[in-house]
Amino acid sequence: MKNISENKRMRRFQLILLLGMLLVSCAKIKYTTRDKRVEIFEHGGRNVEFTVIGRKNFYLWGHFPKDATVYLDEVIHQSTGYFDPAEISIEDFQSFPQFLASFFSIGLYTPRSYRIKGYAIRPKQYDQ
Amino acid sequence: MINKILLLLSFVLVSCGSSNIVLSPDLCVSSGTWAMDYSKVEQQQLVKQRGLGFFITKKIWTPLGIFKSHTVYLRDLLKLGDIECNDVYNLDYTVYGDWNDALRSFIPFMGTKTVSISGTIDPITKTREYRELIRDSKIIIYDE
Repeated sequence: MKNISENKRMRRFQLILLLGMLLVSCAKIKYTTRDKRVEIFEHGGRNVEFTVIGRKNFYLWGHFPKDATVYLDEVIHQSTGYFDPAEISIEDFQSFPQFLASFFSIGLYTPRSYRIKGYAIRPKQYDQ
Repeated sequence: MINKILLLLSFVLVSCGSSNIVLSPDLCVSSGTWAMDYSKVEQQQLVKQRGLGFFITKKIWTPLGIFKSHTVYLRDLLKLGDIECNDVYNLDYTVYGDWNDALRSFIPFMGTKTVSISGTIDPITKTREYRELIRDSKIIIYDE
């Protein structure tokens, strides 16, 4: 009798655990700019293609921080030194190691990544 | 045995609840820009007053979750709101998962994410005065 109730309790715990894990992907990332222009379409003049990869860490099934913001202009300039980016594509993803981290932490730690590709102007000093 | 099956099941469910979504600007010919920060109250009021804002959301099904990327075209997203790329003044993009998405990840090998774009649009946006107006955070809209 005791064994049966223990089993039930165990099952209930596993179900709660499973439900908790299902909520892993509640993270919210907003992509915007802070104070510099990032054009939607490239009308010509950009001389270099770039790729920037970044990461945002979330905790407790993606509920903290509530809103993570990626400032495209800042991220691109800080990572590449290029300016005036345009025609950017944004890939929002979870790599396999990040997925494993989420899975084994039961969603307590849920990192996500982003990959930004686009065109920009490379400063002349970079050519020297 | 049951424990192992549960672990495997949760692995499948969660991995498919994860996602890999690409927002592509391909063929979206526009003179617009990515959004400036709209946190300023004056700008929000201006947008609301003129009915310039748009907010479009879409659920993206992501079969095979993290193992396969899914491309969303900006042009197609805008079309959901009857907006052409060329009409956009500025926009920003958000990717998130809500309770619906969490529940849908129960479906084996499937999952969903919600993507949203919000921004502003108006024929007036094509005039230079308006662009200057909205970019200037010190604008006093009641003087108009």
